[in-house]
Amino acid sequence: MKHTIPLFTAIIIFSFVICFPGCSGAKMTMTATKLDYPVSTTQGIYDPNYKLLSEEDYESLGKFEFGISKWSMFWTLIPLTKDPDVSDKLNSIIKEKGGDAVVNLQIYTGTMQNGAVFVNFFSSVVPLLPGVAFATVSGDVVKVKK
Amino acid sequence: MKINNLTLQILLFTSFVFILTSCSVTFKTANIKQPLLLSSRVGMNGIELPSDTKSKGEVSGEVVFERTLRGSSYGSEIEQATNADVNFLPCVGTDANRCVTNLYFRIANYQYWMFSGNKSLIEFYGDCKTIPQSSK
Repeated sequence: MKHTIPLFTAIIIFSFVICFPGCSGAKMTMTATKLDYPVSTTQGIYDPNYKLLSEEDYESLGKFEFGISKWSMFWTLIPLTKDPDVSDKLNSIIKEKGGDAVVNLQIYTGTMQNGAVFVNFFSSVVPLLPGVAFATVSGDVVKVKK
Repeated sequence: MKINNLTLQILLFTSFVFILTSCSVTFKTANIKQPLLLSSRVGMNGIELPSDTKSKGEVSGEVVFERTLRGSSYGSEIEQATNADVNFLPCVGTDANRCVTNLYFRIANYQYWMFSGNKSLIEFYGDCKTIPQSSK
């Protein structure tokens, strides 16, 4: 009986560590709720009269790319950073390039991105360590031809 | 800190498994003509959809790629990336007046039980809208 509690505790801890990595990982929600310009994941955008524009109607001012991330711990139960709202970032990119809109927006994420896999490996074993989700947002800034 | 051979072997093995089963996904919509927009800002000069615009329902879906040591995997980066189109076609069809607004994304990377594999996932959600003829 002397070893009952330590053994029981050890079993609980062992079960915890073995079972919970099954749902380990990292996640985030990306929004853009305060945009000043239209941002589309396709080639299509509308002009001020709601006429559908295509590639021939605008010129590209260049591509952009930036990263977003979210950190959390205890298998994402405790968020350490906020979910990213990319509105301000997109607004500043479009304004800086003098564009009217963004087209062909793409989002990329991967388990090996920025070494996230190793961070998440350790956080899955020891949930006190933070885990992270990375993603890359890219697109084309365009200006409508007059 | 002294690291014994067994610890080193476990670390090397799990690193190898993670690299072997690494995966990634890209959300892109290549063949849709209509706008799929991240907000309700649909046109140039700060134009938003009129407040009386009727919603035509919601659109959602996911691009996903999974690889495990057991060999069960589904999806491929290229196929899944372009497959996002099919989620939007029922919503926008071929009508130039139809679009999707307020798109947002849930992005996740998961490690499987006993580190036997990985999964990358991008879920997306948006509102189907039709531009009112009175707006034109």
